Amino acid sequence: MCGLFLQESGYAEQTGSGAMVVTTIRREEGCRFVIRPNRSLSWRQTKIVYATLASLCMLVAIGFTLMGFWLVLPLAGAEVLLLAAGFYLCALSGRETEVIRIKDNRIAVEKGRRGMRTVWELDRVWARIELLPSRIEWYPSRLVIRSQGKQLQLGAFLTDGERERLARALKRAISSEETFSVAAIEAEATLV
Amino acid sequence: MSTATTHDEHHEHHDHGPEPGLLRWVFTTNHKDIGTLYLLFALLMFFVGGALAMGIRLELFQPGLQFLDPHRFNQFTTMHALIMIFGAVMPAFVGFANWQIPIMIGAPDMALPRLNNWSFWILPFAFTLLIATFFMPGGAPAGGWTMYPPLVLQGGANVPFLIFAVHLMGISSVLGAINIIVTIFNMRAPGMSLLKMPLFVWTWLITAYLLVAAMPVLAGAVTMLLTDKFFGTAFFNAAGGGDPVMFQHVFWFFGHPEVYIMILPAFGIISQIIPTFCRKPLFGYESMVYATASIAFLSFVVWAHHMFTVGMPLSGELFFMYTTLLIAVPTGVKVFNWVSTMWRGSMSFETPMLWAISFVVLFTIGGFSGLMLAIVPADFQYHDTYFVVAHFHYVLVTGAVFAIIAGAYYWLPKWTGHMYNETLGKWHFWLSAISVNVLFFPQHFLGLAGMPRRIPDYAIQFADWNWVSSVGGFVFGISQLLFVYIVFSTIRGGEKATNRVWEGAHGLEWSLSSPPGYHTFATPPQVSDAEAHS
Repeated sequence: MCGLFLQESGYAEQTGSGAMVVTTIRREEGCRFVIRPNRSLSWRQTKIVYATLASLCMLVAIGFTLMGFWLVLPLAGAEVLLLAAGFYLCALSGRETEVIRIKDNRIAVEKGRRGMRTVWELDRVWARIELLPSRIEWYPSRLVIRSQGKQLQLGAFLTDGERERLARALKRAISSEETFSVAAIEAEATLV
Repeated sequence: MSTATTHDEHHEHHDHGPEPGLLRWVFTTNHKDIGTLYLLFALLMFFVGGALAMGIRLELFQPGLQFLDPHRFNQFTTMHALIMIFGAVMPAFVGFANWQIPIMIGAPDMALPRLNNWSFWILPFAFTLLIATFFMPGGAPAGGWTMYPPLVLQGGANVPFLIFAVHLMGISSVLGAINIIVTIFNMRAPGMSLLKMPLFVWTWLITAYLLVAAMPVLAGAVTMLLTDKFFGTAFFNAAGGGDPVMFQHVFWFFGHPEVYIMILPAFGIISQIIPTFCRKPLFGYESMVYATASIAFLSFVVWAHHMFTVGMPLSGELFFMYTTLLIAVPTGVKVFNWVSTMWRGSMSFETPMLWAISFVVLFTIGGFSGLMLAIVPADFQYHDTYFVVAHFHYVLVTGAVFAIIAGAYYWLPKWTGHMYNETLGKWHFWLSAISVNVLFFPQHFLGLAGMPRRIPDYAIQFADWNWVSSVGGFVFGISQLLFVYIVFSTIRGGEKATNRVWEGAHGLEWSLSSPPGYHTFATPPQVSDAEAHS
């Protein structure tokens, strides 16, 4: 059993946030890729940053309210709520997780956040990994897995470079003659 | 856990990518598209506001009333300021933020892309409403961009349109600021700690804090104007027990941070350009960050220096004088660090560097005249004269606008993939740098001699310097057409730009292709010491 991080080591430790791409290979369970978006703040740090900003804003608004200019307060309140929504939505999207399991003739893709998972089953024999560039040069690429006329998008929240590396690792894992070619995937991981 | 099959994915069969044609620009959530939209909108508004400035300088070319009646002249001055501040300078900086922040911190996009789309598309509606007031009974707002009551409330049909437009501009700015804060805090690449971020990102983070703290105050102030006018309140109506002077306090509590909202990102751009063309790391990176934060903090405790003559206790005047003078310290740190970066640097003078050096020199002139205005007894003479006009134009034109133009030349090859025409860029610089001084420097003399601001006609003794100033204004205005030609010809083609573009450039964005596209960060963004702090 081995676990590989497809990014520089120590990142998760530095930022306290989730990892971007993790590959875990267990010979008995098959090959597994876990993909998450990069977030550089932990939830605790997010709350601290938000609290300082919201306090600054509300301090100003309460000051004006005490002087009689109370119409500043609801507008500042609305802004502080919007800010909270912004931080929350960003943190929530940071929980997006994609898990790809490759075992025997099956590829299982799970997507979702904690507590809500959707699973797609694909036939490994027919599976193709494709990295599609956008029609417009500066738009992001799209990584899809196709099987029997159907396709599923993977890693939409990654940078283009991360998607490229994921595509290479997935191709090797799917097409490997050995059922679970640890060596091949390890070699891919060292590229990162 | 639910189980599905790939049959659920039929909707993914279509060719992906943006909407075709113009709809792409309406529905886009791509940070590069939205950055481009902001920059083009800012350029358009720069010319609308500039056309009004040409009208003002045309009228002031000689004494007497030639082209504009006094009411129309006041509309021109008010709208010129509103359009330049909220339509040109601020959106230009947000455009830079959209383009640069994600690629500088190694993020795939802004944190809240849909919000990003919305915050841009509010702006065209806001400015359509504002500019439409020219065609309404009573014309456009004429009470000055500061909207002091009771004068502004006598504006007739334009009042609610002005207030609603200001609300929309404020919403756009706040949404942009929220997006920038969330992006910078949450989307930094591994290893990009806060004190490794490029100065441009730092200055924008602090600017976003200022926007979040100050914008509700502006929104509240104009809402109270609205309720005073239409709903019978008396926040600023002396007849109802209110106090019109308090509007000035409330407004300038927003207004002075607003000044820094328009200059801190400029500091960031200059702090990127100077090290590149000196082939040295920025001198005193951390002190630059702390100086920026200090300026931002001080911006909240100096507001009354805009209104020393309104009648304040002596202790109040002393307090605001001293705090204002204190701003010279962190600002001096910045100027010192830029000059120290140049010291013994291997300097070259490509167009962005020429604009950056002129920024340092000319912005410092604006800073010094600001110090003169900060001294209360002196301000009693200078207040509401052309000296103030000269001061804030040195800060905002040779400061903010010059930095925007410098940044445009600096990053244009990265954005378009083409080098601009260096010869034309230098022509643009020299024409602008000379004419802008012919335009604004004589206004110091006019102000010291006692010429009031916001007047369409003046006493005969002011004629000569006004003539000179207007000639400078016309040359400066025409020179900017050259900039438009250079920008659009660079977009259309030209010599292929390399990835690094400039020999001395450091930072994540220069490791990307020009333009940054499909191969964004083909290797994971690694923030080495050489790439950081630049």
